[in-house]
Amino acid sequence: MGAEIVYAGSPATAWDGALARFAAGPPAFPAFAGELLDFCSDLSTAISRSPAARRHPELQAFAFSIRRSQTLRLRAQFEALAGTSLVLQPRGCVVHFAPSHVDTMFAYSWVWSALLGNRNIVRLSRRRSPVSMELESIVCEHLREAAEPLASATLILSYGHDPDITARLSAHADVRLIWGGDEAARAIKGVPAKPSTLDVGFVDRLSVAILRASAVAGLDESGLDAFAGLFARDLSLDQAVCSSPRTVVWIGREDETAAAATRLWRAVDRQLAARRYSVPPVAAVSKMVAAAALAAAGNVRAYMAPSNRLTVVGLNGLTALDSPAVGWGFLQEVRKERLQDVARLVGQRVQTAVVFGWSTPELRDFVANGRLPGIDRMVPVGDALVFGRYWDGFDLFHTLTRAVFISARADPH
Amino acid sequence: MTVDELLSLDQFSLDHGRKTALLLPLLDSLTAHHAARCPAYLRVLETMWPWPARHETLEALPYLPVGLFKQARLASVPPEDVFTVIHSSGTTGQWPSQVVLDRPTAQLQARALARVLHDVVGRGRLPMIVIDAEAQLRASHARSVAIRGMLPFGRPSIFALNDTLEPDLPAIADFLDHYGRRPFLVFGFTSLVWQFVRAAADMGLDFSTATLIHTGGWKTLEERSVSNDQFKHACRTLVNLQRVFNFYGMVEQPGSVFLEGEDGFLYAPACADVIVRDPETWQPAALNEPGVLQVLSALPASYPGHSVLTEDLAVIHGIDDGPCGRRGKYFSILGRLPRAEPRGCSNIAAVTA
Repeated sequence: MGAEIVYAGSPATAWDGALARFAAGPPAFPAFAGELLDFCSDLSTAISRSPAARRHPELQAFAFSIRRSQTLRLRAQFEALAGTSLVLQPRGCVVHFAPSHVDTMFAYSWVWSALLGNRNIVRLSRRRSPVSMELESIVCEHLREAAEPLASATLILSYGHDPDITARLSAHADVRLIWGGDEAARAIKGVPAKPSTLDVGFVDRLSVAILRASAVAGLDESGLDAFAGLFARDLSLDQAVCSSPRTVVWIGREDETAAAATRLWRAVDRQLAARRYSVPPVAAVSKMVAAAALAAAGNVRAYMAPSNRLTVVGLNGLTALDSPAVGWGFLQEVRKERLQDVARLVGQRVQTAVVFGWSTPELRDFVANGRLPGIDRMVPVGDALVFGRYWDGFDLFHTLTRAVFISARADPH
Repeated sequence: MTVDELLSLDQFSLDHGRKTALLLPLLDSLTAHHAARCPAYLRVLETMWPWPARHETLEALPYLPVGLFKQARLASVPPEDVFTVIHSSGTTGQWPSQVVLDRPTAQLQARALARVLHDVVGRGRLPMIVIDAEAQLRASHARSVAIRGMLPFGRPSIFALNDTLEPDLPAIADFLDHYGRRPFLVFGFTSLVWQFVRAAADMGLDFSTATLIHTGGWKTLEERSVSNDQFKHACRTLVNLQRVFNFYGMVEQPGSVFLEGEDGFLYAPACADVIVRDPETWQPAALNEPGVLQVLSALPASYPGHSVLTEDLAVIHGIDDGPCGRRGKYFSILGRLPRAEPRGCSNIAAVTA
């Protein structure tokens, strides 16, 4: 048939024929049901205890995100959304198209949808990394032992680029969550689905850090090291995930910015070394070429490469927040006098702004008054890669549920 | 000593110490020369290197990563002096490298090639078979640049492959009939020569009086598992070709050719040198320690290509004590820098060298 079954609750051979029945089944559980929270808690423990998690912090991060205290918190938030007129029901059958190069994304996508009561089909690419397959295997093991109907409410497949299979799945999709950037979104959206299918494409995005120079300058040695450690975390996974900042905008005067930057980048390099951040030679060369190209073009004011791990190129100016797709520890930085000056640099593609030095009201003002076409999340340094409810401008609680409105006027009393 | 004088010497008889003493002042002044004439180069120097500076060792000289030639047009001559610009992409899908040549530099490069190959080819022209298709002459990739560089050595020369890269047997047979009993040259890209030699296996072609000069890496995965020894063995046994010499060079430094000795190692000629650098620290690696290859050449005057960090891994085996008797550093190429698997949300292409 072309697709490899990674997990199916019912006999694997029958998946294609059973698709209609699978998709049309009742919600696995009510959203955030006790059984779902138990399942997540068990899964979380199993992953964090696995040997693979010790070597791969991203597995730990996923396990952390589904631990009981976290799922309870999410349940409370979800319940607060409902009201006398509003009941949030699962959408039904959600088909997830996982990205081939972010190992844990399929799991986040699936878990969020499952917690909200949906039935899920997860499509994995043919080429997966060992980390991804390690996670799959633990997930499948737990699904096999999970209580019904959860065990039968998930189907995980792997296949190459095959519009026929995608069409077959899409015919039953109430939602298609499409990870993998512009190309994936274009490809999947090009395959017909139901007229009512909601398509959510997580397209190519880029991210920035906006730092207040005086706030960074005010950090003492240990504060700076901790801060640098958080920043280093934001550069994980080769800085290739779209939420990793690649451009740094400093807000402040020239002298205080220069001093703060030098101090910070040295500390970040030390933290990267401590985390054994490794940059393959071909990537180190790419960074050198990118820096040299910027320098040759005349836009570089300063260059700092304390090691193979980190290259920071200070630019004279930027017209828009776009950065060369280099990664592996490559940052370009620019300075502005005031936070408001950043507004005109922000385009639609900007997803995450990692920020330090402003209060929430100040940031709200910046977003509201700046009428920014981009920036979908502002998070503290260290949280760039933390997946959450609000992503790419969507509130997943609403994306993955159907709002059922019960008019008060229907009530005779 | 000038570059011209350096080229007049026997290219493989200089002790490394003596060569360094001659090459260093030339490279140091080339650095200053390009800094004064190529604003983009000056900006790179001022940004990424201590500049201004004079350099006490070859290792201290600034270098440009070869990929920069694909991103910027670097010229140290005014437009009216430009003789030709080599536009060459090593791999498909990338922007081409731009190498700006004025007439003097182009002539110097041609002379250098002749002086370096003199070791294995001798003076004067010999009949030559080019193992490629004539159509290549009009293209602009590294292969065509190399062929055009070699053609002056052949008189007459024929192309052994037709447009579909299959052996043109009648032409080859005719050539061998006329010239096959006396010394002649064969030139080609390594992977094409390999294919040719295997295709010609049962045709009884006799290349016993030929000298093969080949260059270029192995293109396909299957070909990459072929060792230098296997290659030479195939040449010997399938077409009776005994004298085989590989050379390493690049479009960004035409004329600067690192020629294989009889011992199978590559040697730096008098007008050039190599350094191998540790890719973590960029410091020079120890002997027998692999690293990223940097190539130095006293030839490029019209563009700042005299000190270039390549995207190849190499290892230097020794200095001045090469088994075949040539002096200077001798080394081997280990291959391109391995590609890095991409991560991230977009299903983007891998970072490749």
